[in-house]
Amino acid sequence: MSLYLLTVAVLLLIAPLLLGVIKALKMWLLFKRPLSLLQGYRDVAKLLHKENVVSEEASLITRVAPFLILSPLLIVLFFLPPAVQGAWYVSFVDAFTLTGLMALSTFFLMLLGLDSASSFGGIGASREAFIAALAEPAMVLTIFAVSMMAGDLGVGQAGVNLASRFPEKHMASYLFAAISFFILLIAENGRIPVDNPETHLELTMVHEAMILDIGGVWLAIVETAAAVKFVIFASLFASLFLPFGYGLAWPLALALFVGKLFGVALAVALVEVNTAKLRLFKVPNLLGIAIVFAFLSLITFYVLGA
Amino acid sequence: MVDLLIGIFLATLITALFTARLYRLLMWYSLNSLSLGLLALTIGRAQHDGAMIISGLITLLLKAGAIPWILKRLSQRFGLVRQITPNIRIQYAIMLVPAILVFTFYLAEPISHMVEGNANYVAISISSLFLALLLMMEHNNIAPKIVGFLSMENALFLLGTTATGGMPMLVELGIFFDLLMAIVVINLLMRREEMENSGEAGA
Amino acid sequence: MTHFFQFDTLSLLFAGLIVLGSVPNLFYSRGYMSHISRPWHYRIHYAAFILSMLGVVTAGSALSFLLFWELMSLTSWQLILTEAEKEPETTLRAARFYFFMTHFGFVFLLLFFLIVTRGDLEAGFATMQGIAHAFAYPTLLFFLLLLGFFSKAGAVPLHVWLPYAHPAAPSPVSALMSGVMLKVAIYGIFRFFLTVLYPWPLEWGVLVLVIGAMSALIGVLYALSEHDIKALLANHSIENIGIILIGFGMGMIFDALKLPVLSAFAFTAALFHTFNHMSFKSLLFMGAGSVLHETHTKNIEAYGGLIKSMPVTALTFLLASVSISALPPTNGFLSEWMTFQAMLGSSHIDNMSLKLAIPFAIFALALTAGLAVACFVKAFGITFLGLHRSANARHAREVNGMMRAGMMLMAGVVLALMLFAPWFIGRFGAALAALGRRDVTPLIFPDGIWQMHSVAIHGGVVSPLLLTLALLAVTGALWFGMRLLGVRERLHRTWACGYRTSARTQYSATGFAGPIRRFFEWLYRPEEHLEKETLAGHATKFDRSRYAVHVTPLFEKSLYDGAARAANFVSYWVYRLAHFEQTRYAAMIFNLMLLVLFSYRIFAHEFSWATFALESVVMIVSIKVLIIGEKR
Repeated sequence: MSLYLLTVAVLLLIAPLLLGVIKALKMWLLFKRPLSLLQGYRDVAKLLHKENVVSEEASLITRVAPFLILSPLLIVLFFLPPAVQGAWYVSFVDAFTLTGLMALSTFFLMLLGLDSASSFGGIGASREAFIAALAEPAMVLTIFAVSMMAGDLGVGQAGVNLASRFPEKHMASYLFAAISFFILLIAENGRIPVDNPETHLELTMVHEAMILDIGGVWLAIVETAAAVKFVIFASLFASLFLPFGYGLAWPLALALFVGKLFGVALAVALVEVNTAKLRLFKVPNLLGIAIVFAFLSLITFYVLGA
Repeated sequence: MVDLLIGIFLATLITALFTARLYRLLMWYSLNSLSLGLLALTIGRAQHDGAMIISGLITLLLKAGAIPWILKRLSQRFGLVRQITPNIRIQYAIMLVPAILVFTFYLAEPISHMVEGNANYVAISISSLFLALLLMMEHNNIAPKIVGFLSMENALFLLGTTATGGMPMLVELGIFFDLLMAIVVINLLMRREEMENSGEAGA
Repeated sequence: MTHFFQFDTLSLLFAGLIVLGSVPNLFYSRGYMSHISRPWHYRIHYAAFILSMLGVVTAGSALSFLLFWELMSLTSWQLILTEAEKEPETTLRAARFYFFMTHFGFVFLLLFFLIVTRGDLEAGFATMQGIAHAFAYPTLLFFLLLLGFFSKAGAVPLHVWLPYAHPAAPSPVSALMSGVMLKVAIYGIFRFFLTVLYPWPLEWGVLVLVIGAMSALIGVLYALSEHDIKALLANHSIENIGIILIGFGMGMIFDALKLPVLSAFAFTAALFHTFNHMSFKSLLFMGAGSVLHETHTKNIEAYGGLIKSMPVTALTFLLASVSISALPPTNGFLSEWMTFQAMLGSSHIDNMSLKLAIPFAIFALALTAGLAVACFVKAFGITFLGLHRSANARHAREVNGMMRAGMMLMAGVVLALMLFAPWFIGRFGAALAALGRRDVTPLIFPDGIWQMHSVAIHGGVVSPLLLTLALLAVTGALWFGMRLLGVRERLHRTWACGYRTSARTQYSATGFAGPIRRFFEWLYRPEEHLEKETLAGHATKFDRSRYAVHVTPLFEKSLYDGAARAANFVSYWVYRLAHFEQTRYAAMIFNLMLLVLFSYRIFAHEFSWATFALESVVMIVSIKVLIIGEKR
């Protein structure tokens, strides 16, 4: 139990760091002077001391939504597969519940965008609705396919099963699921081919557009939610698709797990540096590939058992 | 390991279907051939089949390395259009690709029972044959058509290696020679297209 | 000996559903009365409508079933016509369409009953079962039932009346029709499939599954492109009926494969979703009705900012939106979760056609869930958030107490279905057990009410209560943390690049659904209208322009209009024949008699090709000369 809580705490703590690492890596790869890795924490600390500036048009939703954006994601953190052997974990939560909780968070994020009556919020919400609607089926199918390969629909148990018994018989569908999940990781977290987290141009922004009109503590909460979401995806990727090193002694295993998370961050940074932002109406091409692979993964598993 | 390589094979082929850039397409083709060559090497080593290892090596050299490079050079020389948007739109392709796969899995079921051992590989190679055909169908330009043709050859090779434990060496060598001939023919075709294009431009 | 009424567990279950759906509606209806111009017409038909629905689910014989069924159709038809004087054109058209569709279904039901009762309409369900078993063509019975009930339930392709009938009816009636009346058709499906037609071959289940998956997808896609809030909700009813049918179809498939536990689980999921859809769809229609009551328009583009003036309506609508989008921990999520788990329990089935059909259904359901979220962000966000988009919206006030009470009661039903899910599932289990199925409640809740298990091997587990508690606890902790920080709050203008934000610059519903509409353009075939005002033909800086998109309903265009064109063609020729002078009628009778005699000779007496050809020539010549005559 204490290991379980420790893992959750570690994941929560390194959440801002991971996004900072991506940013720093990108700057370094582009020959800029990288910013401090601790910038994420500094931002949160700064925002916590500011007053909340609220739009005059905002209603009750703006005052409630930030909490409901963060809290489902925090709950998801508790349902992830364990990083360390012998740790207690929640074995039974399945893919539909996980994606449902994340969709709940997205739902309130979109409402937040629409609440301030600004056209930016509408832009962001509309685009997010489009991307999320196409990403959700791929996500459900991918995680279900992997958990079926692992022999248990519960994601936590599936992670443990994968670590002890790698699905060599199902390599083809496993690979498809991995490709699909990596695309989703990029799309759902608003990384570069889909959304650019660093600019504030109405042509490109999705996530930033929705949160343009809140400030202070609420902005801190929503930014934390974005970081937590990335940690969730990265750690799902690490436990479902990189299931090795689970059986080491716990400090080593935990360190390895965190290392895998940074590995995922590195991969994302490389993708971001090497690709250009897609036009919004080209995004379905990318998500289409994710959907096709998610679907293929399920079909190949179902029909061929491969 | 074989499963993984077949997975990569199919994955690269499907990604190639969605590609809209010529060089990207060539890269996917090269990766596709790479996985095929590695597959032949793996199976060859497992079965101690010298011929298979040789053909795997040739695949690696020729199809993963030389042919994409030649095609890239050719397209640069003739100034081919590098933007190759598929004719079939993404909305349809999302439906079509799984449908083709499902359908061929379904059709190949009786055939794959005839093969001892890995029945699934037959289904996958037949479906990749169809996907390669789809790649040829969905483009107007000549370059992706050529890549589609080459992928089709890859799919046949996959069928040969996985289903029958390797075609006779002679047949494989024959195929490689055919491929080389095809490249020559393609060279001629491209030159012709270039001439037509320039004729149109002049008119 | 059969009875006019029967009260077995399934009947009582659905009677309970009708009561749950109607009682809050009564309050709401009372508050809505001031809006209705012919109160007594409304009251009489409203009461008769509810009673006839109760009659259908408790009917014990074919006669009573058909009687109440028809009564239900007729009263609801009259209720649609209650507000006919407001928009006579559209309302009359919708009512006519509804009348036609519901009787189209009724014909098939009547045929079904005539067959399975051998003409003795007072026969009970047990007698029918014996006759249906002995009947040589059970597939015919299956299709009769399918057409009869699916045209009422609104499954694709018999769904086209819903987006017309629901918006035309007064809002309490839409809530009843969508929330409750569609469920009566589901009751019919449960009753007659599980008792009369049982057992069934596998293909029937696959067909129901495919219809369900298609309904779910098509419903949500058309809902996304709607601007009329009630038509949007009506399209969502199609989607939810689709989800119910997916559950039911999976149950049929498992039953045909002799997997009783999984089958009962899937049926339970379908029943649960039936109840859930009743609760949240009634609530949504009530909310839409309140908004309509205050703003006098159904156009979603004319709303906006209503949460400030109508908080109760807005919050109950939000609850229902979260629930219908299948977001945890609400009841809508629980039943969709059960449907998913039922489908995933099929991984070890060794049947090729199923292995192909089920992943497609899983995919369709997952995509539906994703699109539903987008749709309800649009429905809630554009209606209740932002600035007022029209003067009507600016003058909206919270509705009266009775209507609020109705909405809050229905919100209570939604919450009850979420919090007391174990109890409700126990009732569903009991109803299925009474029909001779397994009662899977002990398997779903093996260790108390805290966890809901899937019955599949290595299935998932979900715990609605724990999720709710966790969400409340975490949100509360965050809120408390913020209170501890003592954050000050300051109001300021919305940032709009230095300009003032206005109702015109904020996103519209059309704009919101724009990307999705563009992606599904091949399905929607949208007609775009762009009008620009110009000054004597010159474009100026102050031009107003108007942009509107209308989505073509594909099914209506292809299936129904095609049928209408064929009917037109036939009736044109009948018309030509019918409008002749009297001598021609005599000639027609002459020819008919000839035809009868000839055909008797050919088909009954003796047949030879030579005489057939000869006689045909004679017939054609006679018809040409005597009836059609010269070309004018």
